Amino acid sequence: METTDTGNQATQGQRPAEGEKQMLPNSTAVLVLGIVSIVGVLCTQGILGIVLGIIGLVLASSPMKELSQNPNLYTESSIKNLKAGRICSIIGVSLGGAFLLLVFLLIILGLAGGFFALLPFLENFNVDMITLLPL
Amino acid sequence: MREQLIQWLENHLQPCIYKQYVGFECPGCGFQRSLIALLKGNIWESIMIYPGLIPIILLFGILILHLLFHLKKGATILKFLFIADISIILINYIIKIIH
Repeated sequence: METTDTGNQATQGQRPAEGEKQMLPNSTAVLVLGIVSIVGVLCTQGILGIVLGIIGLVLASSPMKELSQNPNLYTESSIKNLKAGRICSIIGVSLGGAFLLLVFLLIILGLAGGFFALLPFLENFNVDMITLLPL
Repeated sequence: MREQLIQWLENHLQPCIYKQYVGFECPGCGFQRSLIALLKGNIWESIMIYPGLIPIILLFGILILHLLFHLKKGATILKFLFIADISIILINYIIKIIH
């Protein structure tokens, strides 16, 4: 439990007083999105994982800039949340991307395999069709 | 209540599109069977079917606790648990494909 967090929630929207620290915007949302992206990767062939991870990265980008400009303004817990969420989002996006790439590769391989498996039948069926193929 | 939930889950198993078209399992296959086994109380069976399920449940439990109570090292724990979970799932998947 951090007592500073509850104090900040009350003063949100106003200018922080001297020496008082602020919550980074979006830090919790980024953490949640990053962690939920793992389920997206597993259950929807990577697509939902990529979507959630990219949303997380986009939400994390502007707070990261603010953090680099004045690192002393924000509470330590929100900085940790943001960084952990960002790492989880990056992992989610890369894993989902790898998985989706594998799916596309398999689809292309399957299409090519089916095409080449059909060739002998085509030859028997209609010889003119073979000459039309760009091979 | 629990038995009703188990029965409902068993009757509404979602088939894997990936497995239907590609022919071998995806990294998420076994999730639902494992969950049903866990709800029935067979922890070992659940781990054997899908070892990544219990760490995922733990991950979400800690996430909810962290969001509610602002745990001091919550973000660090979540980060490492996430990485550990991903590694477990990937290693399990590679072993499953090789066998």
